[in-house]
Amino acid sequence: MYHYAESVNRVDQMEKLKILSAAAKYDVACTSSGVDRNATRGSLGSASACGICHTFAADGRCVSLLKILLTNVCVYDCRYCANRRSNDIPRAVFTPREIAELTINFYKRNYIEGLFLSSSVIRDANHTMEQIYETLKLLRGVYKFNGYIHIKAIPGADEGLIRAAGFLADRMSVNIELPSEESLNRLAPDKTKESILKPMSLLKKGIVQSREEVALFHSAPSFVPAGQSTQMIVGASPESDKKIIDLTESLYKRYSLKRVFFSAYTPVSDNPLLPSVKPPLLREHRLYQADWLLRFYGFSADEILKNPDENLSLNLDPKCHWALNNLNMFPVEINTADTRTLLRVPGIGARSAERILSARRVGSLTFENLKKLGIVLKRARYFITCQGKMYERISMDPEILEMKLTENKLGGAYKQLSLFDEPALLAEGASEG
Amino acid sequence: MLTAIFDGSLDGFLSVVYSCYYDKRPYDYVYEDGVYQQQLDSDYFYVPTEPARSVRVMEAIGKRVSQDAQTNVCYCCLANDKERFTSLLRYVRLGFKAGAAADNYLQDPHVLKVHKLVQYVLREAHLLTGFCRFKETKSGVYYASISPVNNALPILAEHFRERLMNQPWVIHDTARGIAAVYDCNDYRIDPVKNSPHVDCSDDEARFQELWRAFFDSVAIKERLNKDLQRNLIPLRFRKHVTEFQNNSPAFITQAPRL
Repeated sequence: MYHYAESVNRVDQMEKLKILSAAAKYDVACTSSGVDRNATRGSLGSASACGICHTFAADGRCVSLLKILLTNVCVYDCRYCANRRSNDIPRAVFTPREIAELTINFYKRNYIEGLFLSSSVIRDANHTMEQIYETLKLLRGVYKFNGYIHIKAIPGADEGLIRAAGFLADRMSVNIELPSEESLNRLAPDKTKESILKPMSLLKKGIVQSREEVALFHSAPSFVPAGQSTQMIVGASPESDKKIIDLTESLYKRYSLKRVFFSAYTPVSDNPLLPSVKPPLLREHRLYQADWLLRFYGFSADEILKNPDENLSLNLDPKCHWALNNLNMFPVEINTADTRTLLRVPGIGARSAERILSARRVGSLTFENLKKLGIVLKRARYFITCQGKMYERISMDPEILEMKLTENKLGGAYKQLSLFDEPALLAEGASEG
Repeated sequence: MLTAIFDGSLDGFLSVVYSCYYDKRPYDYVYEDGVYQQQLDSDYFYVPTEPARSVRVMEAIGKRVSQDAQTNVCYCCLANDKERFTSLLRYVRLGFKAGAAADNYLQDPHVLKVHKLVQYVLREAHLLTGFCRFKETKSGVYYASISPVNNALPILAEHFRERLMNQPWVIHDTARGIAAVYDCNDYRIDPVKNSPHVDCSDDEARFQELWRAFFDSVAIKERLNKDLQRNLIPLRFRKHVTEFQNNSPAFITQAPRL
């Protein structure tokens, strides 16, 4: 296929890789978890359910997959996107074979856990999806690649194509992009809510159906075994955190997504419709914490935030925030509380809870014991008792606790007290937490 | 006070456990030969390694304590801690008394220590399953070097035996002077004296370059966070990791603190 000299090809490939990996970097998902697949003779690689990070980029984000776009040539003109049609940037297109060759050679050197293939929409959705499918067929069929593959389902592509690709990939995702329909209309005029939700429900149906088939016939091919995920941009549009968390919860419930990713908006254009600020990294972090509460700690979206326009507190993590608003449930006795209650104590996570449960089977625990077990008491100590004793004398007053919890942070909860409007202050404190 | 000295291997340790019960010597300390200091008030016994005995002890641990205890013993032996065998012996002895519940006794400093060491070993080995970088040599063998704190090589070799099943590879632990050698069939771990000369294949430099380019371009410059990066891939790993070796662009090697 390639008639030009090797050296040209080399420079060319390097340039392409630079352009198309830089274009893919705003896609957040780089997880390689969720599927365990043993290696077989004659094929290359395996997948590990816990996921393996292969390196960490200078921004501290994990790199586990070769994350690239098939192309950054796009027919759409979404305002938040660096690859929009109207943006004047270098463009490139990979062929399926080039991607396969890169993936295999990186994998053999243990640089990566697999491939993350996304794409801008070149020509039309079907053509783009076809190219992605070609790449997968090449990797799985010709190169016998058995590692992890995450691909994007291109909204608007033919159902049959998406299904066919789903049998070759481990995870598929459709980006919901923005947390509400109005924002989508405003910033991504070529996309509609329906066009995004349609492939999502298609994937969901496929996954459910395939699970049933695999349960009946062990050898049935599995469809997207690591589940589907999505991502939305935070900070490009005016939605409150409460709206985002509600949306997240309903995505987990209605589309049984594996993960919802958040991406702090990084200015990529000077369009007046978009904010030109630093990416809201702390907000993104708080949203992920809330996401964890939804998935692993048994919280519901309404518990995390109540009012529709409320945002997550930047000073306190969402669990602390919840605890301060529900002080009637604390303190919790470490030696008798059940798992669910333990998990709701700020500072106690799944691992700590597990350790406490196991250690207290053979003896009553004290604060000294907890420290030795590696339980972090920095936040937990205000909310627990050991053998009926508190860690220190402290009043269970939300305001005092908040001050203690944010003590060593800049911009903590210190407030200039007023001599005159004390009742108002107290009322505010109780609702704000 | 009784102190057992042995060769430092897993079989050796299990022979110490055997000797503890069958020679009726409840050892207070257990040390690897060469890494202990003589104390005035202690009697020293050199316990020879006997595979037949170690097999029996291992079976007994599996039956009378638990399978978890078996794996804990195996992994704890790989840790890099002089006192590990002493704690491990106490742990096993508690196990023979308390059965599977031994793992609940986290208030016991020895049990806790065994658990912590096992966790450390497994965590480091897990990191290395990602950070280990192979180079393709002219002969087609893939070579990787590592220098972990704990002896992660046996765990890594198990991992890569599966993952890179169809290519011959060598993982060289330069800190311990041992290497796992895989020939597409099975691997062996042998001592290696000198650092071997690695003759890279023609394609190798090209793919390293491509990988470095990829690594640099996936970082979002507005989110630069070197401290986080250093927490997640500590400096001690980096000398063996391709993307941190030489010709990286300036912003990767010397970025300002944000």
